[in-house]
Amino acid sequence: MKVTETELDLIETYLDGELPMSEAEGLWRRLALEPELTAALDELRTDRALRINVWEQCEPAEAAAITVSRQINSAIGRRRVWESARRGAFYVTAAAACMLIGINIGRQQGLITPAAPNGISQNVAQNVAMNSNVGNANTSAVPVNILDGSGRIVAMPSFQTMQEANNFARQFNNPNSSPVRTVSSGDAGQNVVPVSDVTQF
Amino acid sequence: MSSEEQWQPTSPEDSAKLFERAVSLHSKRLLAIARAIVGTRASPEDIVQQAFMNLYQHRHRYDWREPGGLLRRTVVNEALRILRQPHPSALAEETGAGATQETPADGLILNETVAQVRRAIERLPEHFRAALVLCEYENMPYAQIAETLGASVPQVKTWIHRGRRQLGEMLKPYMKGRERPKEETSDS
Repeated sequence: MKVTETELDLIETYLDGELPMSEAEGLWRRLALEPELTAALDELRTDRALRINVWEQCEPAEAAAITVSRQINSAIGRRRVWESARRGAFYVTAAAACMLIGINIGRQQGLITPAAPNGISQNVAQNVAMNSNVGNANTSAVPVNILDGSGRIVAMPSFQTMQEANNFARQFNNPNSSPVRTVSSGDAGQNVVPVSDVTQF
Repeated sequence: MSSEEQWQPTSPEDSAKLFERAVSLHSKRLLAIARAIVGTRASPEDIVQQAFMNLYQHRHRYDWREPGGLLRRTVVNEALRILRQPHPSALAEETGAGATQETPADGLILNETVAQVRRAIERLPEHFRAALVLCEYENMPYAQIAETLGASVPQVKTWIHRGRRQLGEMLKPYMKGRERPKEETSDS
């Protein structure tokens, strides 16, 4: 009696170790009684052994496997170096970006300003103070103290009149105005220092 | 400290050591699986190396203490991916370690039979081949094969059984030819 496809599948499932115990016991009983089934089992075992031979021939020699392992580990080592370098570049780029953002914020807040052409920054101009020794409007110079952030006098231009001194101070303190470049000359012998020359102090 | 706690990676260096250990321990079998699936259509070394590099990229996701199943799954998927590519490169037929050894006459007949079986296996659809090699070479249960191949258990059973049927059909003429000389010699 020819063995059916279903019976062949059953035997193969048994050879694969996947047959539940109850079904395996039923198969054993049939194998004891049906020689065709036993012949089919033997044939399937032989075929399986041939295939396992094929799979085992696919195994590389030990030396070849070691070579491949070393190649893989070398490739991984190179990848690790690359990852470290990339991480370092990322941190440097991030730090540079933070600095740029900080500088831009500082400029917008007015904490960092570009220096005026005369070398005095405009925030210094906020500390322009009038010298207490104001002279006569007609005959004496009116000095003006320009102070830095820590209160030190960095320049001391003089003006002929209080009006000029006030105008200077107003324009200097205004960040939107261009630096004052007019030079007014007083009486002979008096030197009125233009704004652009204040840096000489 | 138990052996399990001992192997718990606590730093990237530990993780790297476990990974290297996995490479050394499993390369040979993975190469065999890759070769069994792709045959001469691709390089099993390239497949295994690519599989490991893919895993290394995401190594932090996995537990490297028992990576066997993960490695098999990755290599099988990589092998199947290569086979699905258009015009995979054909390599010269390379044989494994066993075929290069000298054998007596009976061994030559066996080698020839095995070569016939291998050629027939290479003509199987790739999923049939992958399911067969995991079942018969790796002795994996159907459920694990299904998980590895991303299929259901009934599908895996179908692939395995149909693969064997097709092999039987392809080898029938060769096996009959081998049996006929035996019958002739026994009759004489």
